Amino acid sequence: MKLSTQMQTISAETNIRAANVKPRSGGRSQNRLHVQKALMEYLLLGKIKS
Amino acid sequence: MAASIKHFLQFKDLSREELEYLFERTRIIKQKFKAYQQYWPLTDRTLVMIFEKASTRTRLSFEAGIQQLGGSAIYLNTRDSQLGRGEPVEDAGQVISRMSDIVMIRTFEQSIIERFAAHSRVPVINGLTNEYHPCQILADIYTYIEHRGSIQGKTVAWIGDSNNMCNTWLQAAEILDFNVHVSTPPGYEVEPERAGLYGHEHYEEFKDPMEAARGADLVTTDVWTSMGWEAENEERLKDFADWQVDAEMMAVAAKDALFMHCLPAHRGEEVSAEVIDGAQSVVWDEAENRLHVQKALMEYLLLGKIK
Repeated sequence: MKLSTQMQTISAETNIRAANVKPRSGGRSQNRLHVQKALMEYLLLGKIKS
Repeated sequence: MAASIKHFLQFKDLSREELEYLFERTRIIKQKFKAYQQYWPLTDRTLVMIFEKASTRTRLSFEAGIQQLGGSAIYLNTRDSQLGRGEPVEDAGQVISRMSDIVMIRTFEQSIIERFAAHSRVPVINGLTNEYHPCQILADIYTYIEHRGSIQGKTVAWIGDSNNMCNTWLQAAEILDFNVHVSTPPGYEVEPERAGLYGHEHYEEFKDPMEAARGADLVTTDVWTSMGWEAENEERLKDFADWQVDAEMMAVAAKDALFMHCLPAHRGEEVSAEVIDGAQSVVWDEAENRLHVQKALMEYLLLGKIK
């Protein structure tokens, strides 16, 4: 049996990051993570062409 | 809030079938590690480790474990977190679990980790509380299986304090169908409710530690003064003086009995040097297996069963 990160059999728990994306009580603090990741990307790499 | 998050807060959170699956995954994951076979199923996953008590093996095994599975770890200690003091545990559960994929907590009362988990959107693992130490017992039972095969129907002798290790052994006995002989000094007996037991069928209490050890397949103990009870140290040294696992005690156990200790050990107190450093001791395998069982546990909690 060969397992790779792309071919994992993944249960429902792994979708947890996407669950409940509309901010509730923790939404604002969670977005600290995401805006800071975008900020670091921009400061280090400049604009990314998508 | 996701409904199907699986936590490992106490041993009975996993069924017998799930535990058997975990032990098999542990075997496979350990084999990969020994063969330098790269296995990164948790790439891009972040483990947050929160420590409110000191740790050597737990931090090392979780941090090395998540890295070996392709993920990364963030270490928070009491200065950084202070669950329930800096901010409510429930709020910490919300915030920390939104920035990470899995959380391990070592703290004081079990109720702290239960409250955190109730507000977490990712799996939470008990890295030791005053009541339980389920990851250590996973490693201990896996170690027993490696050396002797199935633990079902076997007898484990617990000599010493009825602490978090003892409680967890008792829970494990109910799920995996083995027996525990417990011998504690007077005043330190098992509290079944605190241990979270369903009944009394899988353990027996002995006043005489030699009788508890007689015929046992595994003899195990822990320090006389667990973390958090240091103020009682002097009194405990006197109370536990007759509860040392020594060669005489191992001689009345089964001929092929193993000795285990979750470490750190105090030679000359709860165990003699002759026993812990002797042929029946498997304490180093036991310590190493923390790494492997916890890798299997994190894989299971995050990815479910691997086909």
